[in-house]
Amino acid sequence: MSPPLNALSVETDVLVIGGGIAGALAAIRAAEQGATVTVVDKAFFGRGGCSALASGVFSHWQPGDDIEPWIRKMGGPLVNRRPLRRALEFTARIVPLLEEWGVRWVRDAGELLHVPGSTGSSPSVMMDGGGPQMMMAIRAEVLRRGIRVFDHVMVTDLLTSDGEHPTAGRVVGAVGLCTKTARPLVLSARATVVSAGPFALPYAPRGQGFQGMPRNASGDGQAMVARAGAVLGKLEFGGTAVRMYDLFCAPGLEMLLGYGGVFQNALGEAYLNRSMANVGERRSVLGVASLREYQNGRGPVFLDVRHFTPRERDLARRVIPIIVSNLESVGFETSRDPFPYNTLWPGTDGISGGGAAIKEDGSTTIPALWAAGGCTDGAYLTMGQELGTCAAMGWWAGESASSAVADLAPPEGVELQATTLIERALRPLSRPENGFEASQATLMAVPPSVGQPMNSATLSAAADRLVEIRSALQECGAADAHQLIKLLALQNAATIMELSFRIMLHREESRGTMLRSDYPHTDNERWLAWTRCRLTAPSELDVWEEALPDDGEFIPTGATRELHPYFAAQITEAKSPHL
Amino acid sequence: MDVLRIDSERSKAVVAYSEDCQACYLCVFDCPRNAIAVRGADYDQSSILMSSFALRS
Repeated sequence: MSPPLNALSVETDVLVIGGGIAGALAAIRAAEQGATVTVVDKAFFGRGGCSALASGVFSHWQPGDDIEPWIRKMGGPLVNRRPLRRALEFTARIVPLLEEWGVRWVRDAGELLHVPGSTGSSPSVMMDGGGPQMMMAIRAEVLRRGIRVFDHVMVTDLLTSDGEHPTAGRVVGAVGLCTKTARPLVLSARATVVSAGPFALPYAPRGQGFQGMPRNASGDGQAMVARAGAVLGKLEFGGTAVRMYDLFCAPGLEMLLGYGGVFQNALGEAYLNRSMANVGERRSVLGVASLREYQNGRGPVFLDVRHFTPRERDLARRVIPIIVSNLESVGFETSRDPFPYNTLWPGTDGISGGGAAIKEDGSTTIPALWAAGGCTDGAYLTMGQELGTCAAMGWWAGESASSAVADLAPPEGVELQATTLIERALRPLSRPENGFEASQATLMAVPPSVGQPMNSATLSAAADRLVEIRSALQECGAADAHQLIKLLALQNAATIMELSFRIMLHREESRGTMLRSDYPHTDNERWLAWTRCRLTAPSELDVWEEALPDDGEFIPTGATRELHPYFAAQITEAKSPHL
Repeated sequence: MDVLRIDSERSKAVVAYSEDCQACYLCVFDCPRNAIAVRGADYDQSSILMSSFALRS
């Protein structure tokens, strides 16, 4: 049967959707095990996505290190510490392996240089050339191994054996569009790994206080697995990170804080040590503390690295070149100026990892579908994803997916579903006069309406508003392939944002980055559980909790119900006003 | 981010979608002829700081 709509047809054992660190390692491991592997990326694999823009550090546990402080720093009561240990141990193996592949770690007199600890980060090696150098070296290794790479292809949907979304069968590949020409691709695969990265609010114009890294991180992976009927988890914990205001780049915190950068408020006070030490999760400490400064009239907040030595400044230029370039381009001199950070609204940042619920081997709840990295819940191995844990997840998913190939029949009969999905994806091109700018603007307005802290009224209203916006986006058009890809990305982001708010509504407590004024306690009696959701029909969402597994290692909790430190600190401050 | 495209008639790279530039500087780092610069000229520090504060108040 001829390919639908002049689509390019591709057959592969293992399809990897998304070429960041997780996808690259999944591809390499699968190829090592003898599978034919195809990677697709909606940008240029090695030059797009979070990994390529990464803030230059990579966790590196070494044999002989006491692993327990790492576990304590990286975990809260919901963290599944068994895979976390495995992931940390994996970093001991992958750091030298990446160097063999051409990644350049900063060395001092021949020895690997490690960043001192920052806000809960563990000692890390640094990329000499940042994320860009790392990912291009990895791309070269992927190509050396004969893995086929399709750049500039946005996967729009997964293919299923029964032709249904949600499916009662298995995943048999995906369909996608060339981002430059809109030519379709039909990618048939025995095993599929989704590694399309975390979600953010994509394409936000400058000056509106939203920033993501990268700007086209739109939750494509989460949305496609959700439509296919996979269970998702941890969507409620993505928010309240910090970003450099209006500068589209990674926050660069691990290196800058590791070398002694100090967060200050507008009064010049260092505020991170102000009763936030027990929030537990990593970046949420900084996010929640910074939020407090803004909410209490002591914003903006700044990062001060004026005391860096020339050597440290040179190191920053090598390890986080994008951040340094951004700062200098707008006139900041880090030796003279602190530079501002802003906090993010709920539902706009999934860097902490929320999406496909996976087991430790990366398998999802749909047969023949694996997932890895920032588009997953990480098997709850940590509350914040990072390169090291994403690398481990990718490796395990690639291993598991390729091991399963022998028992998975080649896909058959995908043409009808592929045609339907491709036609749906291309339909906006038939109505270019229906621009999406207005719908995009209303989407941008939703997260601020939720507020921080949130409450059930604002969350419900936002979720209901998103139903309307998603419906409007379905009627929008696009003038060319470039605009079409943006529209499809906005549709995915709106979907994941709605799911995130509904999950936040379900969890009736405050925990980590999730702050609810109507439920200000962290309730380990009722809510020491993982939330889950699943689309049982295109517009029907099931939400439930899953008890923590008996076979994991979980931090024993003392008090069962405590005021979240954010609210406790606000009460303390109200009684003793800041002078 | 699909900002740059190739004008095949002139065999030159062109800025096709400048509004989608995310200032990642990868084009600057990669250009073998150092032909690309990223301008941050519209970043007004004082107004950005005040806006940043106002957004959270």
